Amino acid sequence: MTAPLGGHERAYRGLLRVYPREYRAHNSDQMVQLFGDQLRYDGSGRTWLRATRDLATSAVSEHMRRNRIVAQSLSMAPTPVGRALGVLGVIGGAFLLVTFLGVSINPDLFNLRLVLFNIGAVAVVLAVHLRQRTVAPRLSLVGAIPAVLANAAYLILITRLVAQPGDLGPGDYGPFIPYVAGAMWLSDLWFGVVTFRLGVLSRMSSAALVIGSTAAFAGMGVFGLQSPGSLAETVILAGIGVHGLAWILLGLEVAFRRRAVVVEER
Amino acid sequence: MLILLGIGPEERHGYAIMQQVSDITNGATKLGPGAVYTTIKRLLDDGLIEESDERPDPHMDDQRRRYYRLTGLGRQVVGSEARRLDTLVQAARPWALEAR
Repeated sequence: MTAPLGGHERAYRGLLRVYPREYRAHNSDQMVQLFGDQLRYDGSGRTWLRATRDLATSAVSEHMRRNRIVAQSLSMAPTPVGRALGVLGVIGGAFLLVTFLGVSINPDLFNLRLVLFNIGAVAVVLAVHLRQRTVAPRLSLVGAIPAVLANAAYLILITRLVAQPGDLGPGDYGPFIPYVAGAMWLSDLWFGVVTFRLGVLSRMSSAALVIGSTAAFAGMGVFGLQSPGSLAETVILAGIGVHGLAWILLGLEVAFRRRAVVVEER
Repeated sequence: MLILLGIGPEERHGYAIMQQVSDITNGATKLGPGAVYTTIKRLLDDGLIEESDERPDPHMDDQRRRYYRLTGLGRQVVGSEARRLDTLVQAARPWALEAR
C-alpha cells in the first residue's frame, strides 16, 4: 500500500532537488517515505527541524563526494574546445565586471569591452550546452539557443557601433538596441534557470546568472541605468556585477572542472 | 558503525534504523533521511548490508519501504569493531571512567 503524498511530503520531495541528480534517482522515494514516517511518529515541527539540518549537511557532503568521485574516476579532462570557450567566458565576464563597476580604463576601449563580454557569454553558453546535452539534450538546447541568438544579435549591433570613434552616449545606440538588450538579459536569465534545473554545473553559478540577469533587466531604462547614487542604481550595478561573476564562474568550471562520463547504471 | 548497529541482527527499514540509532546513543545522535540513506548506500556498495528480498504485505505496509539486514561480512565488521572498542574501553576504564 503506497499512501498518496501529503503537502509536507511533497514539499520535502521538492527540497530534495538540492541533492545530485543520481543521488535523487537512487534515494528520493525512500527518503520521502522515511520523512513521512517521521511526520507520523514525531510530529511536523521536529521532523522539519531535523530534515532541514539533514538537508543542509548531507546535501553538501553528497555534492562534495560526487565531485571527488568524478574527479578521481568517472571523469575526463575538459575538451580543448570546452577549455577555450570557458576561458573566453572568463575574459568576457571579467570585462563586464570592469565595464560596469567603475574601473577606469581608456574610454576608447569601452565598446571593445562590451564586444568581448558578448563573445565570452556566447562561448560559455556553447560550452555549458556541450556539457549539459549528455544529460538532457532537448532542454539544454532550448536553454542555450535563445541566449546564443540574443547575445549574438547584441554582439553584432555593438560591433557595428565599435567602428564609430569615441565613447558612446545613450543616443548613439539607436532604437533597436534596448529591445535586443532586453532579450539578451531575459535569455541569459532563462539559460540560468535551465542550467540550475539540470544541475550539471555548479548551481551557485547558475543562480548568480539568474539573479544578475534579473537585476540587469530590471534596471535597463535608457542605458543610463537609474539616477546616480540611488539605491536602485546600487542594486542594479551589484546585479550586473553578479552577472559578470556568474559568467566567470561558469567559464572556470567548463574550462577546468573535470566532466562526468555517462555510465550505465549497474 | 552506528547504522550497522542500528540494523543489528534483524531486518530494519529506514525509520526503524533511525530510531534504533537514537536509542543506542541515548538520543545523542538523531539522523535525518539524507544521512541515513547516504550511509546505507555506502554500506550496500561495500557489501556490509543487503536489501531484504522479502517485502511486507502490501496491505500492511508502504511498498516504498525497504528493509535492510547485515551480510556475513557486515556481522564480522561489527564484531571486529566492537572488540576493538571493547579493548579500548577496558584500557580506559581504570582511570578515565573513574575520573568522571
